[in-house]
Amino acid sequence: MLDLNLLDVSSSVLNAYLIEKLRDAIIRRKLQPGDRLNETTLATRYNVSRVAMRAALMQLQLQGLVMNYPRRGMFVTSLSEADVEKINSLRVPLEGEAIRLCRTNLTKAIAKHLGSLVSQMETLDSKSQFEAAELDLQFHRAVWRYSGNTYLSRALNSFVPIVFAHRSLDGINDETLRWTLNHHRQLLDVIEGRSSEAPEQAMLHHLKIGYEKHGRVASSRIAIGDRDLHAVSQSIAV
Amino acid sequence: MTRISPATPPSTLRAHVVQRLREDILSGRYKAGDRLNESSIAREFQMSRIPVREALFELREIGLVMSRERRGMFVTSLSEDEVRQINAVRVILEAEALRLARDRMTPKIASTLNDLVDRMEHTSCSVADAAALDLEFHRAIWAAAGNDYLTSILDPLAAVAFAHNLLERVGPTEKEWRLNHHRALLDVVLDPKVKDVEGALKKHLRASYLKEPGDQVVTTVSAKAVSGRPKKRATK
Repeated sequence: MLDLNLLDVSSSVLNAYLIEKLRDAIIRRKLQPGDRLNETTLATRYNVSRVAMRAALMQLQLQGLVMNYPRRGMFVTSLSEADVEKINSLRVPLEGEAIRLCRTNLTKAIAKHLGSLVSQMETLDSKSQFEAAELDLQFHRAVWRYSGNTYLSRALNSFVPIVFAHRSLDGINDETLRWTLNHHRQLLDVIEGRSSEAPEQAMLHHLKIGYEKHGRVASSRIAIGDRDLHAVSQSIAV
Repeated sequence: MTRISPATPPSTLRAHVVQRLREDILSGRYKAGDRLNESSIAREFQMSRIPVREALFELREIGLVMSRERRGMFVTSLSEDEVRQINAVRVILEAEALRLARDRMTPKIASTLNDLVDRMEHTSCSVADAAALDLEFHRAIWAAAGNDYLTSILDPLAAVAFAHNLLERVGPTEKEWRLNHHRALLDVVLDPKVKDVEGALKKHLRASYLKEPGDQVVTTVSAKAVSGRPKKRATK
């Protein structure tokens, strides 16, 4: 094995190298979903310092490939169906709010950026599920950021990326992949005001959650029926 | 100052620093927004920086301390805008929690919540203890919702919001932490007929943020936001 510590490499090169190695190990299932990632053991295996390993693991956590459980350590992402349902049920109201705020804050530059991401997804000819998931996540992240609510964006970033990673680790068929990638145009239409669909409704549709299924994991109301359609952020006065 | 014996196990050292810093923050020695410098605190306590850093992390977990990117650790202080942003997220998630809790309501959960409200109505504890009791009530609702992701998102947000609220009240002129508006929220939890859960929560949050009975609620909806707000539409 290459001794990186003896090479004159900048830490960002080392960081990128480590991320690539670990990602590869996870995709090739040398590291299985649910495996504990011990910083010290991995640092020894890849012959790098613990600090460098921790930095790489934290990057992977941002990408959703690694999950951090307080006081228990880092693990390769593994989610049960129930976990995915719980996460998606929270995405509906939170991303609904982000979409509503994004619509309020919409500028030409924002529309252009989101539009280009949607076009990229629609024309993606790679069959790589990781590439697709990355673009997909990039689009959602942009919407969260454009909401202008840092705490909303941070909250979404803390629990949504793992479902993207889970989906690509688990593998979905090409048809579903295509559907998901192509469906972002509808969300963009809601953001740009071309569609009058309520944002939560659009999210339900986007996540392919039927009302019935949603009701099982989320609060039993039909998500939109009794919800104030104004952005909560704008109508709250405290 | 008492010098800590070097033989003291690290966890105790850290606990000691946590307790001391907490007192210093709640007494107003360190004020909201003050920078907490690791090295100078370590010097003051005559110990290495490691237990101080760990203590600061622990204080961050309970919301009293926050880190600002590339600038270090500070006593929690939020701008009005940040409070508004946090509350918007809280309203959405706490509404979800409340509705889920309703669906899973059992006599045992109801009685736990009821006991907490009783305690809130008959306590005359310190502001910090009142804040803790308040948070305990909210957490009990989230726990009843049965979605651990919901709790893990709400926990850090609420910790910071409660700490901010607490720091506005402590110091030489301690103001009251009001607890008497929780019965109304419990009624909403126990009565599925109340549909406007978001409205109830907003009202609840407003009541918590009023510092004195006569205070004005900060009105935050700017003219621009009102005109730019999408019109309310009938649901399809």
